[in-house]
Amino acid sequence: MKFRHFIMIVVLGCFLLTNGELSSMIEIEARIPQKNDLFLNAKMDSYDSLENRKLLLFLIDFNDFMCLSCLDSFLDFYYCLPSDFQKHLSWGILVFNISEKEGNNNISARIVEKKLRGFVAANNIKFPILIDKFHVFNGLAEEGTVVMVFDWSRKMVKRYVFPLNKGQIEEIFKLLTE
Amino acid sequence: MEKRKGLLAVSLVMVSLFLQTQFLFGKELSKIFLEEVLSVGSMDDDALFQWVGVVTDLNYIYVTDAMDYSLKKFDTKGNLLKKTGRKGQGPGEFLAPRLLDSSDQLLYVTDQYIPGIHVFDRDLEFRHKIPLIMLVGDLKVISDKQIAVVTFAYGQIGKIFFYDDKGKVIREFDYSTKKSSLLMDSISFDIDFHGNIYLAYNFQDKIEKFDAEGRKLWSQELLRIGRVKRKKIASMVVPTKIVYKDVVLDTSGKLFVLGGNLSKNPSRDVYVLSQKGEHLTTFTLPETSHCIYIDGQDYLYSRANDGVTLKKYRMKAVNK
Repeated sequence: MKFRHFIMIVVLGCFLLTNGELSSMIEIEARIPQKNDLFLNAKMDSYDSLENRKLLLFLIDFNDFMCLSCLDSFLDFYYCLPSDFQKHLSWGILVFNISEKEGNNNISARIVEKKLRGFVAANNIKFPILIDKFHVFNGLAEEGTVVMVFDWSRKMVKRYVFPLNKGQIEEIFKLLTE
Repeated sequence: MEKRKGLLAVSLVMVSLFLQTQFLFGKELSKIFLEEVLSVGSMDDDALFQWVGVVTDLNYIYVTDAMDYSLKKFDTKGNLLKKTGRKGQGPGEFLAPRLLDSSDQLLYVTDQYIPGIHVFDRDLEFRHKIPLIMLVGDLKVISDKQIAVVTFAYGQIGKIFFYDDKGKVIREFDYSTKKSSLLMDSISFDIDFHGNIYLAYNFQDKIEKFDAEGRKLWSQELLRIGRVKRKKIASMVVPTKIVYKDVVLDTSGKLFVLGGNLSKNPSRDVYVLSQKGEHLTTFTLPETSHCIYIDGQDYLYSRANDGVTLKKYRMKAVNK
């Protein structure tokens, strides 16, 4: 069965189960990938090859930059990742709140940008990190820095909050390598 | 007659000068106005990312930067001249560089996660490490042969330890006679040329002065806040608000204390006290800061832009 068909069945199923309430359908995290989807940038020839792809999305909480040990777990985890996941198969989103004092998104964003530059250089982070200037992802990082594992073969997304415990690390590595 | 007129004139001048001095530095004080003279680090450069400690001499400014695990040297115009350090636990490496102080020849750097004190020369070349068994909460370099340190180590708060350059304890000074609960006796401190010790408690409304023999000379409560609220975390009860963040002396011996969360302008109000403990005046920094530093020419340094920038100010006393 093609992946697209599977998604349509899931959507229809939810629609029926929830008596047509549209809001419940929004909870489905899988979506039908489009050709210009960001994951297609990861050197794939065709849409079908997504099935074996795994990807990591790090939502890094800017507040953790202010706490010297808060990112230790993230860094320790990052350095243990296979090389591909350190570079090509990971993306980062830096989430932050507008400074209450400033009231000016531009000033805070510039501070955030500068600190990110220092953090990336000092810790040899190789994957790209975007600054979430419009606070799209804030809700997903309310508890702090998280990692999301996208597993197309299992057709699921999982989210883990740092600091990770031993069991979570083992679980993630199992997802990535199997 | 002429002689009497001359004496009268001299007397009037001296009385006038005396009154002016009292007006500026007596109990009812003039305000202090800050004039920015230098800004080190901006949004567009890579000079500073998260500076933590600062110390200066006549020609240079030295700064620890926690974001890129480094010790940096700037000229008096704010140009980055040299940088040393990287992440690690080896000689000259840091996990979290923090406090910085200096003797005539050397720079002393602490690490929040590694006990001991790294020693560098003025060219930022690593020289050696002073081996301590505890993490340093605050330090004051008295000379190359004597360093005063307070620690966060459980059971060791309430004392200032004086070490030699090999890490051997020369003496201990108990400033807290009664055992307070965890962290309540944590302090920032400074020591003047006579060996007098000035303490500002981090979690109590208390500023104190002791002489070189350890006798308490005075104790001040500026905020009249009573006891700081505490919270239970796991099995520990810890304070939740910082009362005083830092303390530093200027060249005339006046004490400058940076207020914390409980000040009217949190982390911006600076209280100025005389050597006798009289509250002379309060002024407010333009931005919040984690520390203040006063150099040998009485310029004040503090934080801006969330640690991306180090600001230097001339302090001007202005008549009310």
